[in-house]
Amino acid sequence: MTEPRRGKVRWRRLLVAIHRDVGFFCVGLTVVYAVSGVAVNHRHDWDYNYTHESSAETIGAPAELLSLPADDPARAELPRRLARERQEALITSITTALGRAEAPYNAFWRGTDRLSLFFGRADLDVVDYAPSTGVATNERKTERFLVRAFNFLHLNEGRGAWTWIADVYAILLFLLAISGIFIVKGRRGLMGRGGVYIALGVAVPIVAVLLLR
Amino acid sequence: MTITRNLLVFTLSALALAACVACNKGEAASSADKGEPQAQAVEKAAPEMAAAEKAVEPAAAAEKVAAPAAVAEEKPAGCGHAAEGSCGAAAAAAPAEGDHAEESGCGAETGGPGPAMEAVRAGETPLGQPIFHAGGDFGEDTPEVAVEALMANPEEWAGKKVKVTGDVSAMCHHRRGWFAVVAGDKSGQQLRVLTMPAFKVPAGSIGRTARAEGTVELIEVPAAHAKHLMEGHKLGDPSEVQGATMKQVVLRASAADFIEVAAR
Repeated sequence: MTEPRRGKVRWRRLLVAIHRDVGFFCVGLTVVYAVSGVAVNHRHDWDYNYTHESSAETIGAPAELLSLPADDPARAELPRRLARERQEALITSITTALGRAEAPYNAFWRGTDRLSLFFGRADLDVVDYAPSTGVATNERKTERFLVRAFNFLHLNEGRGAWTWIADVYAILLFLLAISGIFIVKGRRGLMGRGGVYIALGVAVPIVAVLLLR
Repeated sequence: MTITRNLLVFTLSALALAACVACNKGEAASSADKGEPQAQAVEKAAPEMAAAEKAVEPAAAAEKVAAPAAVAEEKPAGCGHAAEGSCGAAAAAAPAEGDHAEESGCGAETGGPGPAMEAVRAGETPLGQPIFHAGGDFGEDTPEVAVEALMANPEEWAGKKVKVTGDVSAMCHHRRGWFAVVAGDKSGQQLRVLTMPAFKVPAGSIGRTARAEGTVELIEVPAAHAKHLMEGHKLGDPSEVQGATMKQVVLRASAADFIEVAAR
């Protein structure tokens, strides 16, 4: 039996080893980018960072919350022409009516019939009070723990070092793709069935760009 | 041979990671240094903010009854969390997403988020409220205008550089390319401030107070996107969207401060 040419055997073996080891190394990050990719890809259908819970409670009209006498002329001007002190009192009354221990960190009108009270942090816990109906709607957002972390990495929100780490990962993926082309030889390799699959895979983005863009 | 190769790969990876972390720390140190002159600018700006708030109140007293169609009286429009958390719920197809991105300054017109700056902590107000500054420097001579005054006469202000102050009522969560400030007269009018490509709106800005400087523009918003803004972000009444596009007044920002309001 003739010995195979040593040069040709070595590089294929090296390629397999690199492909294998790099592949193992990239498992973690591939899971991160894959999960986050699907999550962000469907952003039209859901909030990929937070779950939302909404509840409504009838707490009464501003005149009731402020305990205004029936003959008080301010009743007719509610809620738009509330003086600052009365607005502060209304916010306090709403907070008490909802049984909240802490005061909102901010409150302002986001519409003529929508007084928004912001509790906690940012817009994670917001109460929208509609004076016309006396209904307070509470919307709370909770972070999707794992997906949020994955999105943080995928969307490079932290910037800095992660930019370079993500670049290295991209290079490793490129390495995997290119090395994978040459690993298999024969009729299942690049010159056979493998070549057909590569052509189909390349055709998908080309056709998508031509048709959808 | 295998062990040697693996050790080599591991060592190189560790060195690369260490280098990246060192670079990151270097960047953090330089941005902290950058925060100091900005902090000084903010200290100077804080009394201006108080004066600006006083300027807003007299303007609020002169309430305008007619509101532009673009941001008419708001009605509760339950759009669900999907749109609130995304900037593309208006349409399923890519072309609509592209339209939205182009006109709204979400970054597509510059080829993506690109080099848009993130906000940096730039000091505190006299009340101890953290201020996050984004974009360039504020102009000293730029006039401050109330949101309701700008909304009432957008043609008068079109093309002019102004400053506005208001509470942040909505923002683009996905690409963070715009935010909205409410008028101080409780009319519910909201002015959209487009921040791309200058900077990204800090995450979690809804509920904060913002001061923004930029150029007033009148833009045509595709109807689908206008409806998305009104339904998903509750910026107006979707039924007022007529025709293929809708005219909106926006502020193309070059700089902004976002103030974390302290608990009452």
